[in-house]
Amino acid sequence: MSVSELILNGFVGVCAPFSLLLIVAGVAIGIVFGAIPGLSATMAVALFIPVTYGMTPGNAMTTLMALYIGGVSGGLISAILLRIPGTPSSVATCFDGYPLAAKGEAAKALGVGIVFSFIGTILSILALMFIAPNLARFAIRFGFFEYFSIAVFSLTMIASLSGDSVIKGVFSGALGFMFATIGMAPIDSSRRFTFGSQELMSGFDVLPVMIGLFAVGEFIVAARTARLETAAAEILAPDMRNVRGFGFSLAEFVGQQWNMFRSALIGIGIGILPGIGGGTSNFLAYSVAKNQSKHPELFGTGIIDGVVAPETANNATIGGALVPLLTLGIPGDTVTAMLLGGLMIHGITPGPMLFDERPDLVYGIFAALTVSAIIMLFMEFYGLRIFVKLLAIPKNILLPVIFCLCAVGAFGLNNRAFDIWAIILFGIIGFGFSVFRVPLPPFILGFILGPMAETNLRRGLMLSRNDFLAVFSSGICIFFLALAFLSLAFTVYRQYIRKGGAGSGS
Amino acid sequence: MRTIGKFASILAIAALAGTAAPAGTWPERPVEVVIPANPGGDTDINCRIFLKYVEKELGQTMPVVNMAGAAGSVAMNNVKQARPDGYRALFFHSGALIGNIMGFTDYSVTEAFEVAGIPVIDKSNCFAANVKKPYDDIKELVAYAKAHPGEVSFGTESGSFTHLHILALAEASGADFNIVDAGTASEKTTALLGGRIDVIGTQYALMKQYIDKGEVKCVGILSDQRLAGAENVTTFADSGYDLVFDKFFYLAFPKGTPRAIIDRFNAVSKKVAENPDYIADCKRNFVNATYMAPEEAVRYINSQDKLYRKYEKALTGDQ
Repeated sequence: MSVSELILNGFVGVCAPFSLLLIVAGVAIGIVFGAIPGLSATMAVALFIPVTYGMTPGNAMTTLMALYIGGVSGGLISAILLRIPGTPSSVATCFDGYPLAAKGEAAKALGVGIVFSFIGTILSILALMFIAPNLARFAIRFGFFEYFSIAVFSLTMIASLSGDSVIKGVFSGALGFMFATIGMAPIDSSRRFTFGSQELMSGFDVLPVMIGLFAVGEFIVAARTARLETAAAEILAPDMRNVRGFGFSLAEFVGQQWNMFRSALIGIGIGILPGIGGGTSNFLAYSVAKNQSKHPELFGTGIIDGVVAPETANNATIGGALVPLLTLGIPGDTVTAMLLGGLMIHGITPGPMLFDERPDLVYGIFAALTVSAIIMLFMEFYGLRIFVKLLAIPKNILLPVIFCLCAVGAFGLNNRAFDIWAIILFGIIGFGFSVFRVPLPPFILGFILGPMAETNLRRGLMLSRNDFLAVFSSGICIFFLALAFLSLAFTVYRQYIRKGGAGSGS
Repeated sequence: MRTIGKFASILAIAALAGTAAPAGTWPERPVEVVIPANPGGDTDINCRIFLKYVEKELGQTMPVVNMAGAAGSVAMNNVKQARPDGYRALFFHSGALIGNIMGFTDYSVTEAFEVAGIPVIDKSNCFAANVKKPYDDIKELVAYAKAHPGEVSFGTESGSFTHLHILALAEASGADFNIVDAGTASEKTTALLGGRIDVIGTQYALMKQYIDKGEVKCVGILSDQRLAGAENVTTFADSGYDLVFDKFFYLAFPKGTPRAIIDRFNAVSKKVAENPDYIADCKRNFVNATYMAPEEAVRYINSQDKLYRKYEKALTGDQ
């Protein structure tokens, strides 16, 4: 059977009524999971994997893909409307999405997010379909030191996420790094900062940390200012009468083309590398967009560039993460790790044999992804007008409800009450950060990348038998470490110029 | 009609509430089974397949609670502290014994729990190597490692079952392997396919497709017999190293759970183990459906514990 026939058959299969119903339900549930802080795409998939055990392999895969796409995209809704990222993949969407919404342009912010989520997904599916096998082969050659180098490079992004004060950013990042060391150390499993507590042994998961810092911290801030009259109109109610389509113009769309392609490439690239996911790619795309922009100072004030970058990238990570899964049987992120198990229970092992043995299934997956993306676009397009109504709900009613959902989500992560305490602890830290105007994003970046750097450095040293110079043994390592050095040097230089400028001006 | 319906439902509730709760009628409500692993892994899949058949026999649902964290000790502590009323159980594997050796838990499985049976054994633990490597079985691997001391890198996860396997081979053969922590099952596979690690400890089912594709070869099975469906792969014993490590999965209730509940569960496990559908489901995943009565299971686990403890020093030592 030729490729075009396979593609056609895939679409015909997916468009069967029952299959379509599964996609619609999957995307809808995924969006809800994504939009509610504390519930994520990972949890949606985890929750529904057992449900799919009883389905046919094709339907199971279709359902899971729909959940995945909906879940990653849904996070933008709460990020833009409430400044609370729905999932770790949409943290960077808050930076410009919320200020844009605060200006009364919530519909535009959402519209941009939705459309570029869709484009990011589609671009990554195309990458998955046409260049997947070769890319995956290249990606698995990345060893421990290569991952370490990427982590080091990504950590330098803290500088561009720091806002006014690089010192505060570094402080925040270092604190995130520190909190990540709590629990059992990688490799030797020695206990760090557990104070004899069994609960602390497994450490903190990124989800409670994120919910705590961004959501619970925000609740405490809101609770403090709720009684003050001045805090009333923090966000302007959008005027929906003049909103047509997705709320932005064609010229604005065209202006974002380069940003879109670059962010999609970053998303796909991060996705292909096993072990790094949307939680990193949205930051990276945002930082790069800001650093390369002609007007970096406008980032954070509510410009669409800052929404386009993270939303294109996090959805592009989906297709990227599926590349190693489908071609080599290696999961690219936490969600695909679960998809792997979900398929294996049906006696199907994703990997090099899948294309030979079950091409129908592979192309069925491509079709399911594409159709899910289209359904997502429609659902969110019509939902846009409903989402915006969220803003009309008084905060003293909305926030306690969301707080309960956060607690439920934290508990659901590993079925233990400890994670609820964790969100409260990180909520207090988040509140402290907001009082002292310390930026939160570097904390999350340090928390995610710190362990990645540590684990891979230590594994690499095991392999090289403690030879540190082996870090420089490969071109990929040298490339990323050089990038890290340049990025650092550039930051220092820019700070120096700014200080110097201010000095001569006074 | 509505009043009748109401009346009926009140009756039903009264009937439910009225039944006493002697252990003989267990289970009257769903039995939660805690798995110390995320959905999708072998522990999760083996457990869910087993429970599917147990549910039919018991006539009660058995919802699975995934509780990953701290090498399984989070889930183990949870079940250990649960009320011993038969409504919360643990499904875990050999890893718990290693966790005890490594100090993640300060109790042994057989002492802290009422082990109710071993329904699945995985006899497919193996060493897999890149197909280009010049060794095809364990004898050749050891000979090569001896000729090139420290050059053969072996991927495992520190403190895991496969870590035990390489330590055992290193001790039995005296060869020097470069044991590297390469992470979870899929991370190890990545390292092997990427050519960054020479040999990894894994399970046959995870390697099958790469073997079929001619990228990976299986150099030895760590069981007492060759694997059905892969008879051409030799065992460690075939190469002169009598090492048998089978990954066993057990279901356990908290200490103090009434004997009648354990007995009822035991009777059900026996029936399930004889069910041809269950046997076929297990076979499809390259694991063996099995039956062990509680006492036999405890004896078996204790014997395995003794075996693992031979390598206690090497496991807990530096690296």
